[in-house]
Amino acid sequence: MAFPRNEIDELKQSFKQLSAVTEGGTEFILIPSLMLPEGCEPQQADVLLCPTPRDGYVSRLFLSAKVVHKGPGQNWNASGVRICNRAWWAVSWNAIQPNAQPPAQRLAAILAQHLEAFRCKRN
Amino acid sequence: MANKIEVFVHTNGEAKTITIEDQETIEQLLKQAAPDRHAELELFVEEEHHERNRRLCDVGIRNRHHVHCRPPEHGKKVEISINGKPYRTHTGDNSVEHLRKLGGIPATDILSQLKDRKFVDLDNDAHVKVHGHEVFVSHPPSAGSS
Repeated sequence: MAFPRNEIDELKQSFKQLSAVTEGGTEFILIPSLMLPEGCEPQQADVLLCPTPRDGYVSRLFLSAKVVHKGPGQNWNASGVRICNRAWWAVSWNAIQPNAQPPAQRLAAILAQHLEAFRCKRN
Repeated sequence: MANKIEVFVHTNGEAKTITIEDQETIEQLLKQAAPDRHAELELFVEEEHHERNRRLCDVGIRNRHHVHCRPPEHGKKVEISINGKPYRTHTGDNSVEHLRKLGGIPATDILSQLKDRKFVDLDNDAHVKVHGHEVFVSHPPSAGSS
């Protein structure tokens, strides 16, 4: 696995079934049954994290379903795209500014940033 | 000169506001905060333990300060992970403020606990029950939708 071992281990403490999958030379992290932020329907989904640049984004998070939610990420710009023989959906979301020098982010931090797209903002 | 101060005393996840003179001792504060079990509690200010006979004003407890009480056995140190690095902290209630200090998390970053296949964002004034091996992750706020 090309991802740092300690970062995978950190995620594995909560997501025991995660695995790395590769397609077209790109490595993804497949996480089954991730619990989505409160208010999402369905409440959980399989997700595919691409922590490297893709589609003009610094990183991307694909979900196994088009989730209904009240978070700020409402622009679904990937619908049913096929990766590793499955259909995936993704919202347009910049975990960090595209032009900014990306700080060295841990995989767990990148994943958490993408999930903000689906989180209702508190008052 | 004695001043009346308000102290927020956190015990077992609950906060109690105690009005007391700053010349009083920690013993007196504990008695007011937990009349039935004050003898079994110890007091911590920003995770530093203070003896019961010390005066509040001498240990830096001022108006509207937050302090924590817990039994000594809850102070057992265990390992947790913050951004992949191991840290040691006491079992039982840990303030998010303490966890942020421990991991050197900037105030602008979001701190989450990774628990049961979920990221749980932690409010700055919240407390987390620590048993050992908890995983915390921080990140700057996202840039957002494009």
